[in-house]
Amino acid sequence: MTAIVSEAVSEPLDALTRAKGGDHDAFAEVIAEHEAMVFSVAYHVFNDRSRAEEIAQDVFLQLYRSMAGIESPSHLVHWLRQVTTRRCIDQLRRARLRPVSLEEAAELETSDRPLDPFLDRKLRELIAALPDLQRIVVTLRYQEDLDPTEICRIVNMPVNTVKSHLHRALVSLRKRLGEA
Amino acid sequence: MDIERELRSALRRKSPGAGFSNRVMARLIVEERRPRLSAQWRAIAAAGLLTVILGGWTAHEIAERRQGERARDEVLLALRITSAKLQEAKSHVVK
Repeated sequence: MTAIVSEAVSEPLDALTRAKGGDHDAFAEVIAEHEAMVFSVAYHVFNDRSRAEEIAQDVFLQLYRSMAGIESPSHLVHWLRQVTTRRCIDQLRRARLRPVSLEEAAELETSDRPLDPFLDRKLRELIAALPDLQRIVVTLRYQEDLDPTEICRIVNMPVNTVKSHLHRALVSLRKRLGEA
Repeated sequence: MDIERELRSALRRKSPGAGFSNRVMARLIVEERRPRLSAQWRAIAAAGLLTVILGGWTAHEIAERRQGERARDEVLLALRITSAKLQEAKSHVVK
């Protein structure tokens, strides 16, 4: 008789699961994985590096306190996008902040260089001049590559309102780029 | 020009810079070390504070009322003494 011994293959726990258990190193891994996404949403809304850093830090501290409610990696990504966007909207509403002009904003490092640096800069100036909600919707659409149905869940708006903001933003950007 | 492609390029993700996760973890450690009152203890502290305020206000009201009563008693006593003196003077005059 042959005894079949099942080998228990223990999968290493992913960073999210370990972070939920209170492991600080694992939580730092979670931050490192998502910091560019969280920081960039805030940065593209305000064009202000220090404000984006502050918002991103606050979002991750809130995440640490909410870890028990995070069910999966995809839930985590949705949670981070939603909380970051809502913090930006709150700050815009509270202080009626305008994004910093690109002259004031320091250039940030990115992994790849733009095809046309002049056009890239012009576009970022025009995005910064868009109305708040249009700028947020455009950021989520083109930074995060989300479709309007995903964006409406994040900004808590009807999908047609999101589509309308997106349409108006694109019309305005095309028009102003044509004028430039 | 493909504006959507240009927007994706202009809005590509940016790095928050080196040491971001360290800065968050440093804040996290500071927050964890800071003694925090639980919701239950906050409620107890609020109830205690309310009791002290209400107690102080009640004690102040009682002290004021007693002071008023003492003043009234003194006035009444003064009136009684004056009345007695007047009666005495009147009786002397009548005699």
